[in-house]
Amino acid sequence: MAIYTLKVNKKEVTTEKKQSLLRFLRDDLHLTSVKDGCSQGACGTCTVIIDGETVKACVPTTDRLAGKEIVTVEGLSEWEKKVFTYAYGEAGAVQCGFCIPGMVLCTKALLDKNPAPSEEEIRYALRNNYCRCTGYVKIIAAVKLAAKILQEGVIPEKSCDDWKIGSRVHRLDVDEKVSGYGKYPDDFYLEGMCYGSALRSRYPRARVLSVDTREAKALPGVAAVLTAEDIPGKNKIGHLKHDQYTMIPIGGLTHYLGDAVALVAAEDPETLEKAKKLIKVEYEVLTPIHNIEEAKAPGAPKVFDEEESNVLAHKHVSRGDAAGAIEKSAHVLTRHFETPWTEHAFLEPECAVAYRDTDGDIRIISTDQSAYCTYHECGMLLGTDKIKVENALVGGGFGGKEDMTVQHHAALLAWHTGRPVKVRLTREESLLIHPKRHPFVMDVTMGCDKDGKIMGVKAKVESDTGAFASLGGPVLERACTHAAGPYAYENFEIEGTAYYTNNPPAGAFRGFGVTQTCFATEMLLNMMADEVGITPWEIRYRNAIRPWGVLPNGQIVDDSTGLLETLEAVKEEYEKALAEGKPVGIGCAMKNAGVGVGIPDWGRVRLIVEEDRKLHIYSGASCIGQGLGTVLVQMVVTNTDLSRDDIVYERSNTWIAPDSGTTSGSRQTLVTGEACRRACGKLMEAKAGGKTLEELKGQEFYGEYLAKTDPLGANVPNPVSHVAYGYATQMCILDKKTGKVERLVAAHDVGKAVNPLSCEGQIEGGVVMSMGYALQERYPIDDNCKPISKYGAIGLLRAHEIPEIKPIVIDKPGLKVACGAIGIGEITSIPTAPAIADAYYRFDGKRRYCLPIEGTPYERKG
Amino acid sequence: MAVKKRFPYRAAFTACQGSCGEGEAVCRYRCLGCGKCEKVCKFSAISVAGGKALVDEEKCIGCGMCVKACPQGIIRIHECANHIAVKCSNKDKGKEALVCPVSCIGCGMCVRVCTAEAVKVVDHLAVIDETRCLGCGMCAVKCPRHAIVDLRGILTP
Ligand code: SF4
Ligand code: FES
Ligand code: FES
Repeated sequence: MAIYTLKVNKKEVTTEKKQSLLRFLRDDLHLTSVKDGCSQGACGTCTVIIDGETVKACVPTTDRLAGKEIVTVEGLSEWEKKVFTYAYGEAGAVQCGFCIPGMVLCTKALLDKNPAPSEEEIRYALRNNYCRCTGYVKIIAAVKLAAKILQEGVIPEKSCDDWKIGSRVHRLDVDEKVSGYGKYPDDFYLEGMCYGSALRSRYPRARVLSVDTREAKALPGVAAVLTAEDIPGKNKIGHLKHDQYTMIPIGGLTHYLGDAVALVAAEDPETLEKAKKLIKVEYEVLTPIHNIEEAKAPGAPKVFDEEESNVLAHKHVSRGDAAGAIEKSAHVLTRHFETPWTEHAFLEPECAVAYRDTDGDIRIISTDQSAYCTYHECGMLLGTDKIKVENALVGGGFGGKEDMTVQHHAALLAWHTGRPVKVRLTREESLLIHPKRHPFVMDVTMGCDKDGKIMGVKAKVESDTGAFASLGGPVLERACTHAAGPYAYENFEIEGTAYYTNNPPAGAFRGFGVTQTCFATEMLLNMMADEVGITPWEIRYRNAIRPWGVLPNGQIVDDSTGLLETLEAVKEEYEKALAEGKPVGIGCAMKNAGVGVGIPDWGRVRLIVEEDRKLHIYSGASCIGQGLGTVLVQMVVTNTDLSRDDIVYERSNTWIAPDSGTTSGSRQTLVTGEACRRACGKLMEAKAGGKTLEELKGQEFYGEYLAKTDPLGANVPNPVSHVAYGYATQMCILDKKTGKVERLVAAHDVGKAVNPLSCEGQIEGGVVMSMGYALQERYPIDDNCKPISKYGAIGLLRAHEIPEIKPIVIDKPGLKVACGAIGIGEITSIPTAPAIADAYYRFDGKRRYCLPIEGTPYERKG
Repeated sequence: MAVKKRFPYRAAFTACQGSCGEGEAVCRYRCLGCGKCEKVCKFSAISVAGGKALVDEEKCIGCGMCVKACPQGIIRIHECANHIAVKCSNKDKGKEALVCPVSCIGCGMCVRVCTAEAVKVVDHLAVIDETRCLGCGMCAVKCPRHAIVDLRGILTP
């Protein structure tokens, strides 16, 4: 057998196996800074430097690399690590961190060759690596800063090291993410670990007649082959509604191509794939439901045997008399709008590692948006509560990691084999499996008086929720409640229906339904401005909700309401662009922070003074990249007399940290933040009289907060639907010559900005994500209900393609909880698409009612 | 650098590895080594050596004179940052294209492995859409004919 000798981080290493460099670096050398985001050459998370050039390690095989010098982040000098950690931290370039080691190596390769690169050169150096979190803005800034420091030879002081609320401190997880030692689940290689995976349905809709696992079981190296019969608890689980099958039983229907029919665990990934091929499944193939039309046709076949129809949810929201008000309106517009499926495309594919711990519990290391959801759903599956879940680092979520995708399979395989099992989705599986953003079709009518005051809005919307409920119901509800927009008017009626189909499931996605309906309402408002003869800015200003005004849902908003401030923040530039004859478009949005509508929404934090005389923050709330740990530490520093060095942030788990709900609905900063503030109050009481942490060793301080709201349709004159709303105005300016987006301005009212640097990062990332949604992202599904685009072809924007982005953080305290902080996670993505679409209308006179919009330089043809 | 160039740099690219003619067959799409390109270039950026044209990207300003002069039409201007390129112009199908050890036969392997849907086979010849290409080189590594190359010399020789 040939032996291949490679030089990795200055050491000679050998392997006998011809395999991809990525597998060799990760599986054999455990250089886990080299991430596996796709293994297809798309993402760039596996980037290494070979002979001075960046190379995606999943591409070359070990047999071709003899004599080449390979460098990973682990092989950087201490000085380089320090420089890059500082630069990335100071610039605020790190969010989930999954793309970061690759970006760091792009930085190094560039600066080694070109110590003083131009902005354009930096963008080119990064452009083959995706980042879904940051919108690249701050990564580009980090490269500039690193260049400067490397040239000057000194690392400056941090520009801000006071950890109080309002400070632009470096996030606490920069070092582990830049140096690459922070662990995501896939980075765990446990003793005796085997690999698990699901055999998935061959057809989107078919009846499983038989499953024969004998041959697979007999294959040497196979640890377990499981079918639905091997489930000790409930087969059907789910985030809210329990309609997600862990495995399809014999006689059962498949709902989409991602439904598991059997599970396999094997010693290595190769044997695993072989065993999956040996399982024989007989199906009775049935006609699938491809879309909403087919789902609602009379006599349509049902997606679920056990449901009465293909309707998952129906919502009707009405206040005042929309029809009557529209009839009396001076101007009336009705249009049909459509928005597409969108893939979250987080850089880290789903992965979980499960094993039985010394207490006999099933322990799950996961990347998800709520360790407690994983705990509850896996508990249901295994019929036990002897489960512990902990979050590793989470490589991005955006709503796509709220459901069970791998956690339950890993848990079940570990339960049966008694061994550690890693279940990791390939990128192809990830594209199919986790719930996507719902496609919506919307018919909306708006009536305005002669001055452009909105009199009433009436709408009918439908969504394709795919193969199981996930959060399809709440998404529809939020789409309906927020369709009214951030305006003060009284007559609003909307009817919404979500249909099951045999497509991949749809669920939560940054914006939670509002990204869709906001597009329709804002577009109508832009057209209405033209009808009335005022600017789109002016029509918004006239209708904007102001403090103590009443929203169309009846809620009276408080004095923290900052929509006007966001409008005013862009006014000057908007008018200037108009005066210069530049195509400029605008959009506004509001988004709740907190789950709201009467659902119990608890934040919980436990502060423990441990043996190391430090205060450890425990909260069952996932940081999915947004920077929750940093927010909580800033809360503690602000609300106690402790300093940063006294505090340790612990990642979410389910045995010490109390349940603080899902990272969803932009809620963690506000809800968990307030719980943290309350716990701090108790700590300070205990510290009265100048007690030190030493004296408080072993003590715990618990804080909880219930964000109390009224249910939808509550019989009160002014129901509180949500404890808080964030507001935003975004503006898009096009370059007249190229027809490309020149500048995006995003003004956001975030209440009190806990960390303005992180806030900007959220805004930039959200805006770029939605620029993709507006202009070029796609998720085509074929006749077999199969998503057909590969990861590199779904149209994620790249570093050299982003326009100038100007985030404006409007710090408007007023909210009585969480020191005034309102979440910002989702709203950043909401008004972008209508702003861009309107700018294109001003550019070429074509109205566009469907996303992604057509006839722009961004359109991907063929 | 003779002329101040603007980033992203562009330069001529010759889509032929000049490897045919070793057997009796000769590729009709090949670089003839005629030297017309060399003659028209004002910057001495392209030269013929060993019967094939070589571009000096440092000197080339991407003016496109050689593109017009090439009787075989195998020169084009590309962005230098796109380091993965099809270095062949043979439009013959399958077997007929086997006139050279490194000719594209239009098998479509590159199309299948490309994550970016950037490669197409047009007239039995692979064509990479450089605006979509993510520079991974999967196509270059998987090409059974070594017709796609990494111009940096890392993934392919
Ligand atoms: S280098 Fe990669 S992305 Fe570019 S064409 Fe080849 S396979 Fe596609
Ligand atoms: S893992 Fe190599 S490019 Fe994605
Ligand atoms: S920080 Fe780049 S993908 Fe998350």
